[in-house]
Amino acid sequence: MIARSIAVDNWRCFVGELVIGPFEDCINVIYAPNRTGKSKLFEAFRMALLDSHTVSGKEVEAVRPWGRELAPRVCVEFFYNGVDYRISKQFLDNPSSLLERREGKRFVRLAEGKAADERTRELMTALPPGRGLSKPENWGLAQILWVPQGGQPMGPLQADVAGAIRTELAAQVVDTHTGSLEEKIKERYYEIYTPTGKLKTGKGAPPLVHLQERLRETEVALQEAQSRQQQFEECSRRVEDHQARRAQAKRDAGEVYKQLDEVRKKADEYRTLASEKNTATEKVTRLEAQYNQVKQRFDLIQKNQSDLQQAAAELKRIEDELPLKEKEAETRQSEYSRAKTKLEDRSQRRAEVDRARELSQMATEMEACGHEIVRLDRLIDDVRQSEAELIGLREQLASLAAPDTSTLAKIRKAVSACDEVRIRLEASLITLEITPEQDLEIDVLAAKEPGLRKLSIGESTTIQGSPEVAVNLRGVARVRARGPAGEIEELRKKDVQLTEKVSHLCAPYGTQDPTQLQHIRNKANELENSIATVESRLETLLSGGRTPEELIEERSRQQGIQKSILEGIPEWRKKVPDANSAQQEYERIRETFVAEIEPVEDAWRKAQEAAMAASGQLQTHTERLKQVRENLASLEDQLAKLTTESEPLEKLDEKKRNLALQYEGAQQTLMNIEEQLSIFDANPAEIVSRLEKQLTSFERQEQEARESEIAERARLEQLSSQGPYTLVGEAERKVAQLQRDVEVETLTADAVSLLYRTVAECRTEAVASVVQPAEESVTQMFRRITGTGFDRVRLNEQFGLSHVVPSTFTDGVGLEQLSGGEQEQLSLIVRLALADVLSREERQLVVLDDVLTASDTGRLIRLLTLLDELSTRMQFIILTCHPERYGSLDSARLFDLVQIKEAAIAESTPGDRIGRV
Amino acid sequence: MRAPSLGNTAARVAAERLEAGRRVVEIARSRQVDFMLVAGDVFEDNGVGRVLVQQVADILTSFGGPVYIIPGNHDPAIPGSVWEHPAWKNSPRLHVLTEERPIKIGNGLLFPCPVLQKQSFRNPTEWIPERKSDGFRVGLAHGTVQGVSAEEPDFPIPRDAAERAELDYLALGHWHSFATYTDSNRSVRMAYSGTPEPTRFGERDSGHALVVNLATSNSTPTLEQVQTAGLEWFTMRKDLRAPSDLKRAREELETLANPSSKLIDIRLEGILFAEDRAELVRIQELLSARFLWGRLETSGLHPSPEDDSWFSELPLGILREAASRLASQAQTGGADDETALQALLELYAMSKENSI
Repeated sequence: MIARSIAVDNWRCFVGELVIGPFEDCINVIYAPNRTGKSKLFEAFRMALLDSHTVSGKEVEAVRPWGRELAPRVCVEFFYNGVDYRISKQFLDNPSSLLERREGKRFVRLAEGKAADERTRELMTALPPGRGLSKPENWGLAQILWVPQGGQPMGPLQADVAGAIRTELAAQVVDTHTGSLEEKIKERYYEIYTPTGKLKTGKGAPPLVHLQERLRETEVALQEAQSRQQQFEECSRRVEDHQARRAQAKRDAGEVYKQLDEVRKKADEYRTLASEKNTATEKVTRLEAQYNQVKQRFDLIQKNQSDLQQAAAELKRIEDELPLKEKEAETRQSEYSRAKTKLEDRSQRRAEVDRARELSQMATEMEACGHEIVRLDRLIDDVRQSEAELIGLREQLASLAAPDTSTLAKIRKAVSACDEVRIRLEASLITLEITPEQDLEIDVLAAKEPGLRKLSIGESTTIQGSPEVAVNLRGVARVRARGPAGEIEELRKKDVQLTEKVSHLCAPYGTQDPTQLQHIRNKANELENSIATVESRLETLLSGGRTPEELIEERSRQQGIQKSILEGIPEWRKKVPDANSAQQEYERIRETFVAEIEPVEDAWRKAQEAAMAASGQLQTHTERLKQVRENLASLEDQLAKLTTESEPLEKLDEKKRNLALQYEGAQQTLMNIEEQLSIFDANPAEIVSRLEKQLTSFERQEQEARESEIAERARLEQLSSQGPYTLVGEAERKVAQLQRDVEVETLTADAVSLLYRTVAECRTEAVASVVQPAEESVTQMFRRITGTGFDRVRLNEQFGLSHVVPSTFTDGVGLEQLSGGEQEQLSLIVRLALADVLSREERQLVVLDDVLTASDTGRLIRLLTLLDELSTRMQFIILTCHPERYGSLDSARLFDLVQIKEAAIAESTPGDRIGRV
Repeated sequence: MRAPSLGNTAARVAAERLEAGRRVVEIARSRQVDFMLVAGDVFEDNGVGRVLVQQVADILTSFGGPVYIIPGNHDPAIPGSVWEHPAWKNSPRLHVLTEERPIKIGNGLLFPCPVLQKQSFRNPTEWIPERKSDGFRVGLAHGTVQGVSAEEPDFPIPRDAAERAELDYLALGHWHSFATYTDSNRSVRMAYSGTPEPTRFGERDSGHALVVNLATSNSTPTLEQVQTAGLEWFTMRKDLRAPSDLKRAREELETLANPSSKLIDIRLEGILFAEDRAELVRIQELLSARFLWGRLETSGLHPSPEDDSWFSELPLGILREAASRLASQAQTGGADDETALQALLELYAMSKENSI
C-alpha cells in the first residue's frame, strides 16, 4: 500500500481543510519547523487507516481543535494491489467512515461504517483493534513501516506481522515448482479434510465419509440379521426341548399307567386281606381272654396246694431244730460270762495306768509353768528397765533447749547478714590513724567515740567516725576528715534490725553463736535417736500388743497353775519330779497293762460275739416258726375258699387245654393273613392315589409341551422362511465390501493427511529458518552505514534486535554497547530490511517521523543513499524540521507544510475535499 | 454361502456352487450311476433361504435316479432344518435319511449315519451292525476321520471304520478336500469326495465329484475323481528382492488363464523399489479389471532404503525433506508403515502429474 494524498480538517492545530499530496511513489519529504503539526499528520495517517471511527476518550478528544466544537476529519487516498482507494473518517461528532474505490475516473462507495474501518485496517493487520486509539503493538505492518518521532526501537511484533514476514521470506526459499506441487497436496488434503483437520461432511464430503456412513448402516442391518439367525437357532433349540419334554412326559405317563394297572389289582387284594385280618384278630383276642381266665384260676388253685405242702414241711423242720438252737444259746452265754469276769479282773489295773498318765502330764505342766514364769520375769525386768531409760532420755531432751533445723537455718542466715552489714559498716567508717612523734593530747571532736585522748610517742591510735572525723591536735592542727553520709545510716539501721532479729531468734536457746547452737542441735539429735532406739526395743519386747500389766497377770496365772498342782500332790512341794521320768514311768506301766489285758479282751470279745450270734439265731428261728404257722393257716383258708367257688381242678385243666387249641388255630390263621399282607410295602391304595396324581401331571406336561412345541414350530417356520442365514451372509458380504472400501479410502485419507502434515512440518521448519536471510540483510545494510566494524547483527525469532557481533569479538555484545547514533541507525535499518521483505509483492508505505537526528552527516548520507535505493520497492514519507539534511535525495518531492497551511487558509473554502459521509 | 470377504463377488461364487451341483448331476447321469450319495453339509446352515433349498432339491431331482442324502453338522436334522422343507418330500427319488436304519438298495444295504445335532464326540458309524447276509454294504457318514487335524474331533470316525463295519465302501463328508483311507489289505474303502466347488483359498484338493464303482460285494471299489469346479481360487505369494521382481509378478499374473473365473489372493512382501511403484498400481488395476475377485496385500512391503532416486525429481527443499521423512517412517517397522508408504506413493503420483 502506498499513499496518494492526505487531507485533514479540524485536526488539532489544522482548523479548516489541509491537503498534502499527491505523493510520489518513491520519496516524499514534508518539512516544517517544530510545533507546526508534522507529527499530527503522522497521527492522522494512523487514525485514518487503523482506528475505528467510533473511537472515543480523552486522547481522541485532544484531536479536536482547542476551544472549538468541530469534528475532526481525515481523508487518505491510497493505492493497493493495483486499485486506488479513498478512506474518509469523521471522529467524535456524528462519527462516520466511508471507503471508496476508484472505478474509472471517480471514486465509488465500497464500504461504510464499521465495514469500511475493518477493510482498511486489514491492509495493515488481520487482528481487530483494541479499545481506544491503537497502540504501536497493534499497528500491524505499520509497526515496522511507520517510525514515530524519535525513531524508537521496534517493539515485539504482532503474531500476524511476524507470520507475514516469515511467509514472505519463506516464499523466497521455495521455488515455483514447489509451490504448485505443495498447492496440489493442499488441494488433495482439502478434498478430504476441513481446515481444522476433521473429515469433511455434507455435500463436499469425501467418499470415505459416505462409505463409513453406509458401513454403519450395513453393520446395523448385519446385527439385525445375526439377531434373527440367533433367534432362529434358539427357536430350533426350544422346539427340540419341547419335543424332548413331550416325549419324556409321554414315556413317564406310559410308565405310570402301567404301574397304576398293577397297583390297582394289588389294592383290591390288599383290601380283602385286611378285612380277613380284622376278623381273625378279633377271634384270637377273644379266645386268648377266655384261656387266660381259666388258666389263671387253675394256676391259682394249683399254687395254693403246693404252697400249703411246703409250709407244712417247713413248720416241721423248724419245730425239730428249736431245742438245738436253745441249747447252743445257753452254752455260748455261759462262756461269755466267764470271759467277762476275767476281763473285769484284769481291768482293775487300768486305774494305775491312768494315774501314771495323770502324774506325767502334771509334771510336764509344772515344768512348763516354771519355764514360763522365769521368761516372764526376765521380760518384765527388761520392759521396766527400758521404760526407765526412755523416761530419762525424754527428760534430757526436754531439758535441752535446741533449735530445730529450720530455725537454725534462719539464725545462720540472719547472723550471716548481720556480719555482712557490720563489715560493710566498718568499711564505711572514716578511719584516722595517728602515730605521734611526741606525747600528745588530742581532742576527738567528731567520731564514733568523741572525747579527749592522750597519745604517747610512737603509740598509734585509730579514730573512726561517720560522716566525719574531727580531731584537734592541740598545738599542732585540727584535722577533719569527711566521707559520704547516706549509706552508713542505712547500714546502721539494718544492723540494728538484724541484731534484733538474731536476738529474737536465739532468745530461747541462750546463745547467738551458730556453732554452739549447732552443737545443741546435734546433741538433741543424738537424744532423739536414742529415744527412737529404746522405743523400738520396748515395742519388740511387748510384741503382740501386750502391756506390762498383762505380763504380770500372766505370770500370776502360771503361778496359780503350779499352786493348784501342788495342792493336789503335796509331796511335790519338796521336790517336783522330772517330767521325762514321769513320762517314762507312765509308759512302762501302760505297756505292762496292755500286755496283760489284750489276750483277755480278745477272748471276751469272741465269747460275746458267739453268745450274741447264738441268741440271735434262736430268736430268728422262733420268729420264723410263728410266721410259718400263720402262713399255713392262711393258705388253708384260701384253698378252702377256692375249692368251694369253682369247678374241680381236673375239669378246669381240660377246659384250659381246649381253649389253648382253639387259640393256636386262630393265631395261625391270623399269621397267614399277615404274611400275605406283609408282601405289600405300603397300602396299594395310597400308591394308586399317588400314581393317579403323577399320571395326571405327566399328561398335563405332555399337553403343555405339545402346545409349546406347536407355538414354537409356527415361529420357527416363520423365521426359517426368512432365510436368516442367507440374510446374514448378504449383510456380511456388504459389510466386508464396505470395510474393504473404507480401509482403502482410510489408507488414502491417512496417507494424504500424513503427506500434508509432513510437508507442513517441513515448511514450518523452513520458515523458522528464514530469520537468517533477514539477519543477513540487516547486517549488510548496517555494515554499509557503519563500515566493517561489525561482523553480524543478530535478530531474535520475532525479528527483534538481539545483539551485534563486532569484528574484533567472537561473542556478541548488547545493543546498549553501541553509540546513540548507531542504535538509532540500526533500529531504522532493521525496519527497512523487514519493510523490504514486505514490499516484495506490494509496494509499501514507510513513514519516518523526524528520525536520524543523532546521525552524523557521513552516515546520514549513506543512509539516504540506502533509502534512495529502497525507494524503488517502497514509498517513503519523511516528516522533518531539517529539510536540508535530505538535500542529497534528488528524487524526493518536498512539501513545505507551513506554506501549504498558509495557502490553505488563504484559499479556505470549507468542505472542498473532505465531504461528509 | 456367506464368504463375506468376497464382498459383491460372493453372489457369483454362490451361483457357481449351484452350477457345480448341476455338473455333478450331469456327470452322474452321463456315467449312468445307480444312485448318488450326498454325505452331508449340502447347506451351510439350516437358516438358508428357502428358495435355495428348492433350487438344490430341483438340481438333485434332475438326476432322475435315487439320491440318498444325510444331514451334516452344518445342516443337522433338527427342528426348523432345511430337511423339513416340502421340496424333499415332493420327489420320490430324493431320500433324506435322518434315521440310523439300513436301507435296502438292490441286492445290498446302505447304512446312513445322519447328523442330528451340531456337535458330538460320538462315532456316527458305530451303530452299523455286522454283516448277516451277502450283497454289498455301503456306508454314508459325515465326520472327521481320526488323524485329520482338528481342534476338537467332531463326529470322530475311526480310520478303519469301513473294515470294522464290514462295509464295501464308506462315503464320507465334512472335509472339503479329496482324501482316501486304505484298509488292512491296502484297499481304499473309505474316502472324502471333497466339495464340488472350492470354498476358500488354500483348499488342497476340492472341486470334484467321486464316481465309485463297486463290481460285487467284497470286491475292491474303484474311485474316479471328476472335476466339477467352475472357479479357481488362486493364491500368489511373492517376496520381492530385486527391482524387477514386481514386474515379473505382474507378467505372471497377466498370463493366468480364465481370469474371469479366478479369485486371486496376492501377498507381496520384501522391498518396493521406486521404479516398481507403477507396477503396483498396474497389478491393482489388473485385479480389479480382469479377475473375478482379487486382493492385493502390500503391508509386508517396505520402500528400499537406498532407493531415493526419484526424490531428485522433487523440488529442492520442503518436498524433498518431506519425502525423505516419509521414506524413513515407512521403514520403521511400525503400524504406520503402510500409511507412510501410501503417502509416499501419493507424493510420487502427484510429482509425476506435476511434471507432465
